[in-house]
Amino acid sequence: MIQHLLTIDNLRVNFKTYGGEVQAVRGVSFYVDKGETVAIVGESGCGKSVTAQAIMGLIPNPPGKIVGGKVVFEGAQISHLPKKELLGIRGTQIGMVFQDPMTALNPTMKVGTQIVEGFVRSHQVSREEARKRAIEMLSLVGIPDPEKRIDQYPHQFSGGMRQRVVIAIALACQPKLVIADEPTTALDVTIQAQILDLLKRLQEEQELSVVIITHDLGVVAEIAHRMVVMYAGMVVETGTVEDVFANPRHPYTWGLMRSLPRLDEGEKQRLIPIEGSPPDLFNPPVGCPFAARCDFAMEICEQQMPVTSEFGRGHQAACWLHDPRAPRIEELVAAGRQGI
Amino acid sequence: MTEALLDVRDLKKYFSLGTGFDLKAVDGVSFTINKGETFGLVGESGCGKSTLGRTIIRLYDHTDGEVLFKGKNVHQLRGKEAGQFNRDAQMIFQDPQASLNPRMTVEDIIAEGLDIHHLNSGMRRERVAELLHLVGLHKDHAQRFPHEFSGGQRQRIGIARALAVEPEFIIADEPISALDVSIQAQVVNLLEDLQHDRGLTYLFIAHDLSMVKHISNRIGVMYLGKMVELASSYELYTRPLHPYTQALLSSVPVPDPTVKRERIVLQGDLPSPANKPSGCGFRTRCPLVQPRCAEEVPKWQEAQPGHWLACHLIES
Repeated sequence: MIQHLLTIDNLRVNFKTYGGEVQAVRGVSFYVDKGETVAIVGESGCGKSVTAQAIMGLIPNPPGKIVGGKVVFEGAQISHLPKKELLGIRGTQIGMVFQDPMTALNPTMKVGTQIVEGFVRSHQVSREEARKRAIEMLSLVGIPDPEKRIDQYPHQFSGGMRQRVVIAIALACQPKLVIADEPTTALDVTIQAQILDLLKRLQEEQELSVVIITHDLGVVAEIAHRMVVMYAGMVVETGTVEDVFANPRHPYTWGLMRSLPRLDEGEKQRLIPIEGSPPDLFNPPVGCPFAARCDFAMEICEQQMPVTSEFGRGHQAACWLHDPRAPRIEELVAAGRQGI
Repeated sequence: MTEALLDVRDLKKYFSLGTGFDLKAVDGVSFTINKGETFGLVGESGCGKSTLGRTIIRLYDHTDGEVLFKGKNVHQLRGKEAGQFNRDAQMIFQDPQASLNPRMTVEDIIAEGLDIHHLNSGMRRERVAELLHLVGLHKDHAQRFPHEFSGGQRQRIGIARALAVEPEFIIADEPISALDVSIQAQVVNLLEDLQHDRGLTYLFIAHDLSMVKHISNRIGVMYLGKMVELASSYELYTRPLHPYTQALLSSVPVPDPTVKRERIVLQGDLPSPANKPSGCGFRTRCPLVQPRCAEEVPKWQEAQPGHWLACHLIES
């Protein structure tokens, strides 16, 4: 059996707050293979960033805690590792690109120093070698004039350039996996296009595996091979990007796709929003978390968590509509997909 | 002939940097907005689109040019007329978290305009309940505070506040960018319904091109304080003429993995508005730049009926 590079198995993360315990991630499972880009999509509060933090061992404890499941990287379990051992993986084996390049960089350190900080620690290299490496990394991410730029400070860079520096930091130790948490959300569209192209190029050149977290389905279609749709701390649908876009199986995915205006829409059509708002994760519903907003909700949806159905090529959805006992499933699907 | 509700003529707004230099945030913009239409304004951050909106509604004083609202220059209004303009034109802000006073109840937030313009006449509570109902909230929400609501609900409160004084014209400055995708559609539909029922006119400022295209009748594209192209939204999407508009449209990721497009990726970043390039502002990133672009500022002219443009390439 082929081993996945990264496997998340039934991960559960809770946060203790004054208001009670929030179940931010409630049994998330997915995998990432070598050389592929997996996108995690979902709305704010669905647990996508917490999942990423759990992979990196960045959940602040307290208040957060991994209460169940595991993260396996290259066959070894990395959740619950002591901090010292985690340091051998974090930054060197797994790199991280953060959302906001304004706050991800240290304003008092030259960018060159920040880029090679991890590299110097893990490789014990000399000053000259480190400097060479920093210049190499800056030119890799397409920053002109790298010899001059490495001695500058983050405030001397524009937003897009800073995000390139953050990517250079993530790649400095030649990690096998890069986790990018909303890497383009803070950027303008023309800059976003540059950064997406860069990530795509690096991923292909360096055979990287990338987990990209985003709420933008356009970004997913542009860059990812497979996608994981999350809702209220759970995975509701997963599959290749082609399968999920062409043939979405979960009502939440239908809703997401329908609610987007298309740039190429001809006649003006009314948008079809998903009514209501996501459930409260202090006290999540017993059944399907989407049932309250779902057009096709049945009695069982509110009582029992749906089982996951498989549609081939790893395309899965957690929805009662795909249970063999569910009524008129084809008609419901056809009706629900109208207007996509 | 459609009637122009708002006529912006060569409007300029400079901010003094205190060093003898001015930051030309809005540098000579002209356009009109017709009654009952939605005019979309797009551009990247720092292009001056928010400043333009705020100058139109008199949150900022203008530097030069004029804004005519129903034929009257808004920057010269005084006294009663100024008060009337403040009622007629309202604003919805981007961040529903920051634009609602956390210490006021929803009722006080919504009724503040009523109080100021002496419109409550003993029916304050009923009026607030009516407005809450209009934007899809419940009248019991009136006594709550903003922090008790979700982002989408807060944006609805902001909309109710804007509607309270029965305006004709609403400037919506990125009203949906802070919201989740599934909630954005709810708010956009609400704005469209209100426009339909009350004949409102919108200036819709956003950077999300697909949403602007969806909601607008006409769209203006801004770059470095200047309008570079203006056309009906269908025309602008199907036949963009300015190289910047073309690049902007092609950089929007399409949520469809089967679409493979030739993308124009612009090199470099937006220049600082405090230190603009000479001639055409876009020339430093333009793929079709010519020597002439550095010397002359392209004229704002009508290339085809209703399709305005500032680019040397199209000038005949």
